[in-house]
Amino acid sequence: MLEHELEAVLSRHLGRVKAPPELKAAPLSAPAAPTRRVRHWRQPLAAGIAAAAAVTVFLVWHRPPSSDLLSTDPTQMAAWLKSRSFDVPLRSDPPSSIRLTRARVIGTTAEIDYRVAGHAAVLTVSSPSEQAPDHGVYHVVRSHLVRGQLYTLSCAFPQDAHTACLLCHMGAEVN
Amino acid sequence: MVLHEDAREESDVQIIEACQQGDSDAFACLFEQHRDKVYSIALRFSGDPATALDLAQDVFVKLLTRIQDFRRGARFETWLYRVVVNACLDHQKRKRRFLPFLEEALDSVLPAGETALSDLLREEAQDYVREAVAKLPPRHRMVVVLRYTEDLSYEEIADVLGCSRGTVASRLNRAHKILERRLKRFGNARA
Repeated sequence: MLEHELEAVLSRHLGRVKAPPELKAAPLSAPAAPTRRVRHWRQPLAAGIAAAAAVTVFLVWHRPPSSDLLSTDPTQMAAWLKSRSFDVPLRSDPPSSIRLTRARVIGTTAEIDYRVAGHAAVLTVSSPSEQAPDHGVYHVVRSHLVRGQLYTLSCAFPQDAHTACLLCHMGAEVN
Repeated sequence: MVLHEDAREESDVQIIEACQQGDSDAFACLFEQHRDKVYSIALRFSGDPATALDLAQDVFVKLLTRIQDFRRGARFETWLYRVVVNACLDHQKRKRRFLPFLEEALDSVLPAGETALSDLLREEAQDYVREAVAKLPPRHRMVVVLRYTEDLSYEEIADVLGCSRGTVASRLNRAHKILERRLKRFGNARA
């Protein structure tokens, strides 16, 4: 069989299909028990997963609404955060390699998105009792407690860690 | 065409931002846009509709709970593909804990034209192709699914899987060789 013949066969037989209608109900309402036949040893596991999914969906949809500020101005952003009970000591004159993009408050957590030499970074300010934020592909490069607030700094590239600290700190303060 | 693509991406961004703010209508919209894609990958990877439904459900729950992690500037489709790929490969790992090497062992022990394999060979070509794909090693199978179900380029597949273009080409080449051998065996049995 020639290469292009094989490719044609695969393209013909592996195309996209329409998802069955049962899929719609599953993630949006998370039924307590699956309607299709499940092997007997999987039933307790499936019920557990469905219950966990229902709780997760409930918590996500009922969390307090978030609010955002799109701004590159540190003074404006600090004031906006302060008005929402987050006292974040952003430098009013950060180095030119740092550019703020957005601040966001979700429940009891504030996130400050910015760029460090063009790369993404995010500073999260939260209560120490909360779980450390997971920013997927970002690397957590610093995490420390200041005046009862947990500051977690995550960068797309770990080598940006030192420069990223200059969002709040003067150069000499960063160790 | 470029304008159309830009408009679509801008619309995606708006929907995702609404999802991040807890808008359930936006999530329903995102779900409608991607349900066939997610289910198709899961089905082609697992080869089993019930497993595919489980996997797709798992993906959308993950999407719902982790949408806050998605950052503007990244491509949503690539991020979604990664979530689907990880769900499929995780499922495969869990499955292998219960059935270690059984399928591969049977495949290598049973010669063509005998017993269980003979039954398999009597099935329609379409089922056989899908089954042959479902028996590929997981990482090779995923490359085949992304290539032929989703029509992704080598570069896009490399981006989703976090590997080089060369690795994608090598896995696809190896998968082609395995599939060619298996499909030839099917052809011989039918002749």
